[in-house]
Amino acid sequence: MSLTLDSLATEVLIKIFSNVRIIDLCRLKQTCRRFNNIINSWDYALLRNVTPLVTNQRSDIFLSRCSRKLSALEQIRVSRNWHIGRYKEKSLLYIKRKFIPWLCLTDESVWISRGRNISNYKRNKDGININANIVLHGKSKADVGNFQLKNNLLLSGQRDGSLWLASVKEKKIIFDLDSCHRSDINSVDISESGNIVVSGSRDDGVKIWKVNNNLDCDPIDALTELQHINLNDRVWRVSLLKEKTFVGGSTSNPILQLPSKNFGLGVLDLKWDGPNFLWSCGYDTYLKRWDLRTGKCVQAFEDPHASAHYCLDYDYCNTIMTGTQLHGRVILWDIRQGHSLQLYFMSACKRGRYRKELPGL
Amino acid sequence: MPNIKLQSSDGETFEVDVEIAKCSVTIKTMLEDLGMDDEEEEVVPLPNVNSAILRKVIQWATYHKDDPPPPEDDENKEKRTDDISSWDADFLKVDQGTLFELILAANYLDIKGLLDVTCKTVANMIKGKAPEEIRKTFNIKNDFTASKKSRFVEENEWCEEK
Repeated sequence: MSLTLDSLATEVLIKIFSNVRIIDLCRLKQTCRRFNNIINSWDYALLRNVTPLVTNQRSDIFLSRCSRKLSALEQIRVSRNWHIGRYKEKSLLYIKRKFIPWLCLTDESVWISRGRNISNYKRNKDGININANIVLHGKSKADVGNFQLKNNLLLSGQRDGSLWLASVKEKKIIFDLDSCHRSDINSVDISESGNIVVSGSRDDGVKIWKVNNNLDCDPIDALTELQHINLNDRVWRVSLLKEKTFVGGSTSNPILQLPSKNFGLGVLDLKWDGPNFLWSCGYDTYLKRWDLRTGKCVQAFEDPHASAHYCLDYDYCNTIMTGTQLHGRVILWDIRQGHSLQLYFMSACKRGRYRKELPGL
Repeated sequence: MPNIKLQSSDGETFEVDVEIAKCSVTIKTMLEDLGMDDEEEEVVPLPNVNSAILRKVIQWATYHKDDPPPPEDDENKEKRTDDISSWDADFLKVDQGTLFELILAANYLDIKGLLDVTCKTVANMIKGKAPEEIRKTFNIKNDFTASKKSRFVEENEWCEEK
């Protein structure tokens, strides 16, 4: 009896299957059970040369906000839907008053700031559970200007210049200090260790603080001001990487790597890409990637409608999404290509400013 | 030039130039490990390869003996299957049974070039065919239940629209 294809060893079949296209793999899956099982269990080996958009779950940072790991074929399917703009729209929350919301996505939940509250919503199969799981707020009645979540610590800066830090696990405020800044806090960041806090404000620049970890100390002493840099300009974005502080300013002020180097203009958001690269977006309508070793811009993408980008998020591989000033528009970028791929419109959002994190689904 | 004797599973012996035999990593390692490069009249038994297939493998190896070593697989590069040389294409105009036996032999003897080209040939036979056509081409039995079948169609619709 002569040999047939389905009598070959799995190892040999994988060799053969690694030479066909995705479409052929899908058809092979439908031929018989054994092929289906082989392709399902070896899909990463068979599809290793395909890097999907949005869904590639390679980076640990990105994985930390994915609710489940997708199979390679599923990744490609979802990626294609992103690319051609096929999606189901679903409004999860309505906000009557016009707030400037900030979002933070983790593998289990979404954090959303609304007014003075920062709420946690559990993720489920259809999106999120509409009843908030945790609601945190400080003493201040002012709106949240910006918040940052890192390793179980939630740091929030308010519009009246107060700062509070909460432990997420214990749902407890660790400290809540008013008058940290004289005006609105636009941006905050906290170091991985939770020891250093940076805050950027509307009119009196950047402050770097040390967190007092001694639990018995007076809550008023919880923060020690290490440095106060007055930039005489609005600070829109502060970002921490190890010991270095980066600042994105308004129109006249560049990204600043404290204490020295300047580059970029009108930056509204910053995102890290490894220790040496930084993504920025802002009023100049460009999305830019900076090499910090040379201080030069190495990649620049222009907004197709020449509007400012308020915020950006990155999948630490190929995909970037930015939220723009006008019409609640969200843009999908593939950094391997020189132009934007797809636009999405947040219909409920009549007036700009949007922050969107790449969903893991 | 030193020769080496290869014995197929059905007992036939083939005398081959050592350099040609060494395109099989399996044989090469065996010779190096066992130090069989002396002038002893050793016979290398190949119990997994019959004489008809071994003859074809030797024919392929003789033709490709001066080829540069195949490049390492580049993980990021899309694989091509249209780069089969015309000699190889003619050489592989055989029935399916022989083709699969060649794949097994190339795999066992660890001849990368032959394995690549035979796998590509089979891949080309799969490409562009509907599941039913693939089953027909390779005489595969459909062992799915009806409910599973309809789910498949749904699951795989996305990849059909290229």
